[in-house]
Amino acid sequence: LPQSLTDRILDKLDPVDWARFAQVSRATNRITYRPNRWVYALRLIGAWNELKAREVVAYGTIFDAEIDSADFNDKSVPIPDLIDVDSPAPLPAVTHFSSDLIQIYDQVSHIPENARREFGAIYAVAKPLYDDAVIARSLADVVRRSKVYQLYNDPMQLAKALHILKKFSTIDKSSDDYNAHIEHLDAILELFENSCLAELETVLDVIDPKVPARMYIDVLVYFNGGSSAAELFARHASFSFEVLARPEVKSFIEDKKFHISHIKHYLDSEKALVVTKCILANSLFPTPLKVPQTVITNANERYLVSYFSELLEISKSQRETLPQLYLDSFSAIFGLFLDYCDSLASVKLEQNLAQIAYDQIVKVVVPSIPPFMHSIVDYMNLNCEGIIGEWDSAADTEQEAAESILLSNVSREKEKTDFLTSFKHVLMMPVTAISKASSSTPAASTNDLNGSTSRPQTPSMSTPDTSTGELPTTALEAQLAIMKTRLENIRSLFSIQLAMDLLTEARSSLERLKVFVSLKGDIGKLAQKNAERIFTSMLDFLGPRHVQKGFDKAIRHLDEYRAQATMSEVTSDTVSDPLTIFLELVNVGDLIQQLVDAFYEQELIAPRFVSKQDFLTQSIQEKRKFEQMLDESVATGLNKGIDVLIGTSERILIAEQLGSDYNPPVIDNSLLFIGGGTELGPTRAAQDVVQLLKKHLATLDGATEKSVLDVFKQEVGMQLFGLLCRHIKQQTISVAGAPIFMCDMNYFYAFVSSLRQRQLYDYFAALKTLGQLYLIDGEDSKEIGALVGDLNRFKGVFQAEELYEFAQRRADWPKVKREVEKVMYGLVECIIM
Amino acid sequence: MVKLISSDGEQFEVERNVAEQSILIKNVIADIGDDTTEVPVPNVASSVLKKVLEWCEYHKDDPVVAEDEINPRSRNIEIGEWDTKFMQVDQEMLFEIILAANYLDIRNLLEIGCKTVAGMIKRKSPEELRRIFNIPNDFTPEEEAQIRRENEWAEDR
Repeated sequence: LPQSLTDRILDKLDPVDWARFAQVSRATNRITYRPNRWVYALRLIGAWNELKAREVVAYGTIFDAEIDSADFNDKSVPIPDLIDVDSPAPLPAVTHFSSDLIQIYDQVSHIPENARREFGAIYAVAKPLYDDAVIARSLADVVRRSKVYQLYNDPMQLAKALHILKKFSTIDKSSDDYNAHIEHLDAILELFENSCLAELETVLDVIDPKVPARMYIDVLVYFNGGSSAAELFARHASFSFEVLARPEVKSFIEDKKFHISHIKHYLDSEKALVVTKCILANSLFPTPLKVPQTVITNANERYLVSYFSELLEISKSQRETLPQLYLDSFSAIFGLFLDYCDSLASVKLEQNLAQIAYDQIVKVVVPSIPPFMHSIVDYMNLNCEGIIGEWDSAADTEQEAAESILLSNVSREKEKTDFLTSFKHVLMMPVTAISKASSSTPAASTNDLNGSTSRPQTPSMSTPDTSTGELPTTALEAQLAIMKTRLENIRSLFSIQLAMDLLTEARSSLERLKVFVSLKGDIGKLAQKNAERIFTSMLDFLGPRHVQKGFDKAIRHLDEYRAQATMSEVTSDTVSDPLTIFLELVNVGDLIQQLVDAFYEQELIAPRFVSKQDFLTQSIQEKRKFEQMLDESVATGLNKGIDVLIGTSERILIAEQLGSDYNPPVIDNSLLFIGGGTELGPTRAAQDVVQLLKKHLATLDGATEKSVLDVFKQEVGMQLFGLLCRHIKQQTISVAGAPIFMCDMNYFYAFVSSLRQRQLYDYFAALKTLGQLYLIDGEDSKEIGALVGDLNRFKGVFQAEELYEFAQRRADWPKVKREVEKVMYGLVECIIM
Repeated sequence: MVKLISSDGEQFEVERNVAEQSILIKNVIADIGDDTTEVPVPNVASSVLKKVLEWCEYHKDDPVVAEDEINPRSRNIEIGEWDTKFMQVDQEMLFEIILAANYLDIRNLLEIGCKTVAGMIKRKSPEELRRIFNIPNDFTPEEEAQIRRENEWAEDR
C-alpha cells in the first residue's frame, strides 16, 4: 500500500498500535516514526501547546538566521562544514524523563523530533495511574486507595494530576469501556471540585480568609477556570450583607420630613463591606473572572436596588400632598445613592465598581426622572408666583395703608375706592383754586384731631405748615404727601429682597437638579435642559413680572408727580428727590442684574448646567433680554427725571422771574443801573433754578455710573439751554436790565461749567454773548443789526432768525427795529452778493 | 446507464447514480458530456471493479457525505454489518479495493477499507502483525532490541 494509505490506516489506531506496528519491519518503522504522527499523539493527550511549539519554531528560525547573517557578513571566514546544514539545529535531547506525571507533562520540548519519545515517556507514567483511577470502585475508595490520590496530597498537585488524567483520557477512546471510564473519571473530578469548594466555604468564614482561601481558589482556578469558586465566593459574600441592619423604608419620611442620616449610615456600612469583599475577591481571583463585579452586582441587586426603588416610591407618594418634600427627598435619596456609587470610585480595582453600581442605581431611577424634573420646574414657578403675588399685594396694602393714614387726617370718607377720582379732581384744579377746592371738599372729619386746622379758612398753600413733621392737613398737601410716600415707595417697587427670594428659589431648584447633571447621557442633558428652564422661568418672574413692573410703576409715578408739581406752586424744596429715588431704583436694578449675573456664573456655569463656551443657549439669551429690559427702563426713567427737573425749573422761572428783572423801571434817565443799594447779581429765579439743578445733580453724583451721569448732565444742560431760550423770548429786556441779564447768563454759564460737560460750553457762552445784544444803546441800532448778523460771534449756536427774535425782546425794539432790519438785510444782501 | 471498461477490457453497465459514487467518474461524465456512456477505468481490473460496483450498487441510495464530514483521523473503526461481510476477502483483494477506492475517489469505500485494515492491526503484537500481513522481519537483532526498548511503554504491564 502507498504511504498515504498506510498513514490513513494508522490514523485510525491508537499510539500503542503504532508502537507495535513500528516494530514489525524497517518499512513500517519508517512510516510510523514520522514526527508529525507523534506530535499529533501529544496533541491528543493535551501535552502539546501550539503557542509554545510556535515559539520553539521561531527560536529555531532566529537561530538559523543568525548563522546566515554571520556567513553573509564575513565572507573571509570559510563556510563551515555543511554536513549539518539540512539537519535541524542541535537541540537538547531529552535524555532523562521524570517519572512524575505533572513534571513530565511540563517537560515536553515541543520539538517534533522529540515528540515520539516524549509521548512514550508520558504514556508510561500516565497510563498506570489512569487505569488505576478508572477502576470501577466507590468514590470513597478512590480517595482512599487510588494511586493518584496517594501520590498527590497537596490539593494543587492533585488538581493538576487529575486534570492531566482527564486530558490523557482521550487516549482511551477506542477502548470498549471508554464511556464507563470517562464517567468514573468525571465523577472523581466532580468530587474533587466539590470537596475543594466545601473547603473554600469553610475557610471563607475565618476572620482572615485570605491565605487558606487563596490556595483553594488557585486550585479551582487551575482546575476549571475558577467559575465555580467565583460563584461560591459571590454567594458567600452576598450572604454576609444579610447581617447589616437595613433601616425601615417607612422611616425615610416621617412627620412630613425626610431623614437620610440613618440610611446614609446603612449605606456606609454596606459600602465598607462591599469594598472589603471586593478587595478580597480582587486579591484572591484572577481578574478575568470579574469576581468583584459579581460581588457588587449581587449585593446591589439583592439589597440596594429594591431598597432604593422602595425609597423612591415613598418619596413619590408625597408628590401630590407635599411637593417640596417630594422634591427634596427625591433628590436627597438619589444624591445619597450617587454618593454611595462615587465613594466606590476610590476603590482602585481593575474593574470600575462605581460604574457598575451606578448603572444599577440609575436604571432604577431613570423612569422617575422626567416627571421629577418637571415637578421641580412646576414647583419653582408656583413658588415664584407666590412670592411675587405676596409681594405685590403686600406692596399694595402698604401703599394703601400709607395713603389712608395720610388721608384720614383730611377725611375719613376718602377711602381708597374714591381716592383716584379725588386725586384727579385735585390735579385738575388750577393752582389758585386749590384752597377753594379743599374748602369745598366735604370735610366730615369731626373727630379728626387736626380737624380744626384743616378748615377751609386756613388756606395752607399760602401759609405753609409751620409744624414740619406733622401730618398734612389739607387735601392737596395730603395728596402731595401721598405722592411723596409713593416716590419713597419706589424703593419698594421692587426689592432686592424679592430678587433674592426668587434666586433662592431657583437655586434650591437647581440644587435638586445638581445631582443629575453629572450623569452622562440623556439624564444629564435633561437636567441641563431643565436647569435652563428654571433659569429662564426665574428671569421671567424677576424681569417682566417684577422689575419691569416696578419700573413702569415708578415711571408712572414720576409722570404723575410732574403733572401734579406743575399744577402746584412749589418751591425747589418740595420737588423732593424723585430722581434720587429713581436712581436708587436704577441702582437696585443694577444690583439685581449683578445678582443674576453672579447667579448665572455660580449656579448654572459652575455646576456645568450650561457650558461657558456656548453663547447661544436660551438662558444667555434670556439674561440679555433681562439686561436690555433693565437698560430701557432706566433710560425711560432718566428721561422722565430730566423732564421733571426741567419742568420744575421752568415753573420756577415762570413763577419767580419778575417782569422788572430785566426791565427795571426807569425812574431817572441818568439812573441807568437799578441800584438803590442793590448789588448787581443774578436774579432770584436764576439762583433758584441753579440751586435746584445743583442739588439734584449733586445727589446723583456717585449714584450711578459716570457715563450714564454724563449723558444725563448733558441732556439736562441741553434742555436747560432750550428752556432758557424759550424763557428769554418771553422777557422784555431793557438796556438797563441787560447787566442783570448778563449776570444771570454768567451765572448759568458758571453752573454749566461746573458740570464739566464740554459740549455744553458753547451754548451757554452764546447765551452770555446774547447779553451784548441788549447792552447796546438804542442809538446804535446799526450795531445791533451787525451783531444779529454776526453768527460767528455766537459760534454758530444761533441762527440769524433766532437772533432776530432775541433782538425783538429789546424793550426799545419798535424804535430800533427799522435800523436793525436795514443792517441785517443789507448784510444779507452783501453776503449773497 | 453508464458503461465502465476495466483495465482488461471488460464492460460493466451500471446505473448512473451507482457509477457516480466515484467522484472521478462523476467528474469525467460531467466533463465529457451527457451523450458519452463509455468510461474507461484503466487502473482497475475487472475482478476488483466488479467488487467495487457491487458496493456502489448497495450504497447507491446513501446520503451524499460531504468531504469534511469524514474525519480520517477518527479512531472509530466500527463498520456496518454488510460492509464487514463485504470486506471479508483475501488480503490482496482488500488492498486492491482500497487502491481502487482511492483511485476512483469513493470516500466511504476507502474509509471502510482503511477501517478494516486498522481492525486487523489493532491490539496485535509485532509478531502477529508480521504473520498476518506476511511481512519479513528485516531488522538486525540490535536494531530490533533498540526499537523494542523505545516502544516498551506500549506493552501491557
